[in-house]
Formats: sequence, C-alpha cells, structure tokens
Amino acid sequence: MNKFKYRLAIGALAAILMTSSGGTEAATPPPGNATRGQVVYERYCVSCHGSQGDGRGEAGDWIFPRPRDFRQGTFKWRSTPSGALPTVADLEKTIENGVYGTHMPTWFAIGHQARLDVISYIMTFSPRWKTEDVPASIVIPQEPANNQGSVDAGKAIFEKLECAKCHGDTGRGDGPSAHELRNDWGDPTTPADLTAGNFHCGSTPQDIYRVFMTGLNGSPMASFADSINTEEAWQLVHYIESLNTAGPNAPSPQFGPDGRPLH
Amino acid sequence: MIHGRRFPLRSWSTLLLLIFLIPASASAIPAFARKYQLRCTACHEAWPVLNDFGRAFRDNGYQTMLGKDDPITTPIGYWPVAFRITPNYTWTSVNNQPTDQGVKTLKTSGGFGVGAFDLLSAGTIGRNVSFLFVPTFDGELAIESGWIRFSNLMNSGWLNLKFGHHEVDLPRSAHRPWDMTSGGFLIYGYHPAGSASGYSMGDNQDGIEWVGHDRGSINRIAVSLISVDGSPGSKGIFNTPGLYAHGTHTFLLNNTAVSEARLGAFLADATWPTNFLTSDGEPIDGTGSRLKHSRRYGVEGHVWFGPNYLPLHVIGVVAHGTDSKDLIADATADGTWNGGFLEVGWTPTLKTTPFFRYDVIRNSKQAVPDTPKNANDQTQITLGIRHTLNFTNRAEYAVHAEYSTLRTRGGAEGDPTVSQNTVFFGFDFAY
Repeated sequence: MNKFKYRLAIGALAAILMTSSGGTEAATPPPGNATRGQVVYERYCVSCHGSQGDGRGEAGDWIFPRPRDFRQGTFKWRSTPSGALPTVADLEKTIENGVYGTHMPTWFAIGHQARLDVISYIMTFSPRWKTEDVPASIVIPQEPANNQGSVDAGKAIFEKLECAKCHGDTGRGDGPSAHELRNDWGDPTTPADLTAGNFHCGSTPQDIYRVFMTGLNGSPMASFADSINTEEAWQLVHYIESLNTAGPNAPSPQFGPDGRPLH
Repeated sequence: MIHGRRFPLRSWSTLLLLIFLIPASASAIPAFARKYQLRCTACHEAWPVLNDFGRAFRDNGYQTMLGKDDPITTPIGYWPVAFRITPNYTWTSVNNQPTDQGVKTLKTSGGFGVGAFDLLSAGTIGRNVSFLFVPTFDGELAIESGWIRFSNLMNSGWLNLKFGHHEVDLPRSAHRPWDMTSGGFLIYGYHPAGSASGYSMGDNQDGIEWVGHDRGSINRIAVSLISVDGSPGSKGIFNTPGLYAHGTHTFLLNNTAVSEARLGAFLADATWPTNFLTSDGEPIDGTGSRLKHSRRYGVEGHVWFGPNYLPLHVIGVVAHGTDSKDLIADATADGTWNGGFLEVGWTPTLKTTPFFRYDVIRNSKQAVPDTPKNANDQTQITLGIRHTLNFTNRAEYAVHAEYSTLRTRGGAEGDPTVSQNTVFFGFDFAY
C-alpha cells in the first residue's frame, strides 16, 4: 500500500512538473508542413534569406540590415526571455507584419497556413528547435497611466541604464557608441532612432515594453528584465514615447488604427 | 443619322488578325524586384499574373509600407525602369477570310522576330505617391500608361486616387494575361456587329480611379470615371464619359485543398458620340454629340485549388452587354449579347505554368432585322505553357509555347465562319 502511495505521489509530481514546467511548450513541434513550407520559402524568402537559411541569398549582400541567418535559431523579435527561442506566434507575427525599416515585407496576404508551413521549414535550419523547449511568453502587465510623472521617472531610468550611450541624449540613435555596434554575426548595426516613432519590432507600448524585458537576441540591445521592474519598464516606455517627435502615441501614417501595417 | 465609325464583319476580321499579330503587352515590372530585393515569384502567381501579395502591393501604391518605399531610402544606383521583350516565332492561318478576291485562306508565318517591347517605368515618387509610365513606339510614340496615384489619403486604405491613362480594375487584367496570341478577353471589347462604339474595358483609359481596400485587399472596390479611349471626342466638360466599377471579396480558406476563393461583380457604361461636325466628310475631333451608351456587366468567381503558393487557379467570368441601337446602322433594337470566359492556370512548380482559356460570345438579340441570331458569335480557345528557365531578384526569362483558335460566325445568312489559328513559340524575358 505504501509502495502504491509512493508511486502515486511520484506520478502526481511528474504530472505537475510536466504541466507547469515554466509554461514551456514541448520541444518544438513544427506548426505546419515543412515540405510545403520549403516551397513557400523558395517563392517568397529565398532571395534574401538564402537557400541554406544563412541570410546570404542573392539579395543578402545588398540590403541593410542583413537578412536573418536562421542557422543559429537566434531571433530578435520575441515574446520569450532573453536568449530563448521565439514562440511560433512570435515568428508568425514577424512574417505577418513585416519588420519596419528593413526589407522584410508584410506577408499578411499569403495566409495563415502558408506562414505556419514556412515557419516549419525555417525550423529545419537550426538544431535548437529539436533540442530546446520554447519558454512561455512573458506576461505584459496592464499599462499604467501615461503622465508627466511617469515620463520623468522613465527619463531617470534612461539615464541610469545609460541608454544614451547608443541611442543618444535626444534618442536619435546617435550616441557615442552608435557607430561601433555590431551584432552577433559581426555585421554593423544601428541603434533605433527613438524620435521616429516607428520601431523594427512594432511601435505599440506593449511592443516597446516587450523589447525592454526580452532584449533583442543577436543584437547589442540587452534585456533589462533583471535590472528594472515592471513599473519602471512602463515608465521607460512612456519616456521613449515622449521622444517621438510626431507626438506621444501619434500613429504613424504607415499604420492603421489598430497599429498594424496597412499592407 | 450616324456619322460614327462602323465596323463591318470584314473589318472586324482584319482588326482581329492584326491583334493576333501583336502579342499582348504585359506588366511585369522587375524594377520592383530590384527595389525590394524580391524574386518575381513573390508578387506573381505565375508571371505576369499577380498573386495575393502582388495585388496587395499594387493596391498600396507599389509600396510595402514599412519605411523602404520613399526613393530616398533606396540605393542611389536604383532606377525605376524595366523592360520586357519576347523574341518569338508565330504562325497564323485564317480560314474563310473575306477578301476583294473572294473568300480565301490566309497563312502567315515568319522567322524569329521581336514581338512586343515593353518599356516600363514605375515606382514611388515619395511616400504614398506612385506612378506608372509606359511609352510605346509603333511608328509613332504613344503613351500606353501614364498615371500618378495618391495612396492612403487621410491615413486610410479606402482612399486612393489615381489620375491619368490607366487600366481599369478588371476581373482579369488585360495587360497581365498568361497568353500572348489570343484576341484577348473577348467580353472586354466585344460589340454587336456594326456598332460604332470602339470602347473596350481592356484598353487603358484616361480618367480618375478611386480604389478602396482593407488589409491584404480582402475587400476592395474600384471606380473609374473615364473619357472613353479611342473616341473621336465630344463636347462637354468630360469628353465622352464612361463609368467603370468593380468590387470583390476574397475568402481566405486556409485549407490546402482549396486555399482561396473570390467573388466579384463589375459594371461598365461607356458612351460614344453618334453625330459630328465634319470636314471633307471626316468627323472633326471633339465635336461629337448625341452620346449613346454601350453597357456591360457581369460577375466573376475565382477558386484557388491547392495551396495558394502552388495553385490551380480557376477563373470564371460571365457578362451581359448591350449597345444602343443608335450606335448601329439600320438597327431597330438594341444589340445584346452574353459572354464569358473560363480560365485555368496551374502552377505545379514555381517555374512551370500550363494554362487554358475558353472565351465565348453569343449574341442574344441582333440589332439589325433579318440578321441571323448567331451572326458574329465568337468562340476562342487558348492553351499554352510557359516554363521559367531562371529567375532572380533582378530578372526572369522563360520559354513560352501556345496555341489559340478563334471562330467567328458569318455576319449574314450563308456567310462562312471565319476561323483563325495561331501557333506561338518564344522566349520571354524581363529585366
């Protein structure tokens, strides 16, 4: 009887661990059909990302920033913690909305299934997808009121974290280190111009918050999840929004009312 | 009293023959591929037919809307010019062609020659301001297309205005056909025998176009107010006015068996003058009056079987048309017709597309008494295959083989059916 209880307890513990293991997804089933995804890739992606997924397609050497090299499984735009693989939803968001200021267009029109299929094919370029779990997305708390007090507090955090080293005192991306920055592949990279109002990874307050707390893998933009709390992160968001010379929260002409690209 | 242009059957046949000998102009624009570093396949289901991404790109004013559209963001060496040439061998025969020497069979063959030559300049002048300029030279310089478009006015995809000589928003673009030898989509330009009107939906028109669409162009509407191309001109504020409207809704089914479907409807109402001041018996341009109507309307359906990146694309369009009796000499009633086309293009690999189209025109009411009911009825079949030998984000070249046949019933009792057959083989390249 005791043996049975012991086994029951072990089983229950295992079940609890399996269902709550940091909210991870199982390692990492492709969401679609990779064989079909290869065709999608060859139709839409290969000219930039290359047939080997190394970012060295026929256009790869001619565009800036360079296309993503998929072989390392390193992705900037994620909702997962720093260093982790992105979720399928993260990848689909990037494909669906494109990346502002780059040659990555919005592939909204190709449809959901085609996006899932090409994500499945992209997964074949890196062994990380076979060996690593994808953590759950970080939780973005409700945005507090955006007022002058929050902006002032955000400015203090901006100075404390020395953001101006890269982004400049006025946020124009012209800090003293701006021209020395390189990404993990050794390619030059430029800090975001915080006054422009449009960011690679999305321009909603939630998008900006997410960058602070997850960082941009492969780039010099680190995660500050260990340096600031959620309240401070929102204050920093509000300060960044105040730097937008088009006005705080002013929608870009490139985007519709829902903050999504019009294309 | 009609002083307009009349087209007896013999003239129509000759005109169609001429059309046969001139491969259709098409708009594939590698300048965009170079600007955005994308292969032809990104925008084209099978060149030159646009896919969903290409349609959305076009509807956004040739923009991706992500900060790389303004000319100041492009490499300084970029120049928005592309060209397309199709060296080809074409063999044509026309059976029962009425001639001054009687009914004859004409056969025209030739060596490899340069077919159509398209020089296209297109792009964005600034953010949300785009243009297309297509000059053509056929003995004299002409402008096939020339327009400027202001997109996303008031920050809305539903407010885009185009000004200039443009192709109206057709169920299937007449300038982006798969085929190169046929007489085009018959329902676009057909008129009952003897009609003075030369209006064709497929011809580019001077005018203003409003296009509205949502994200991905799932829902879209286009309305053009035009001055009918080819008209001898009329008095009035808007020369020989015409109206064209087209709306569609696309169903994204996200199913690999049937990935998409689209339903749409269109309406065209074009006027044509029937009375002029004349000089030596010839109409004086711009003096036309007594504008009479030529109307056509119809519905369309598209189904994409298989995944939308390797689709079997089936297109069906049916239309009904009417020409005012005042446009037709000796007419006692309006001339009416029904028609349509069924087109299938299959892209089993990114490089190969066999295609087929069946066009049909059936007159439902002849305008002139005692004209046989089926006089001037037309049936056209086109089938072919194009295989892309190579494509990059700079250029594409393909081999193209095609056969088409058009049968036109005689215009009077006892007149023979005129049939035209064309075989085409060529190399199609764009840079």
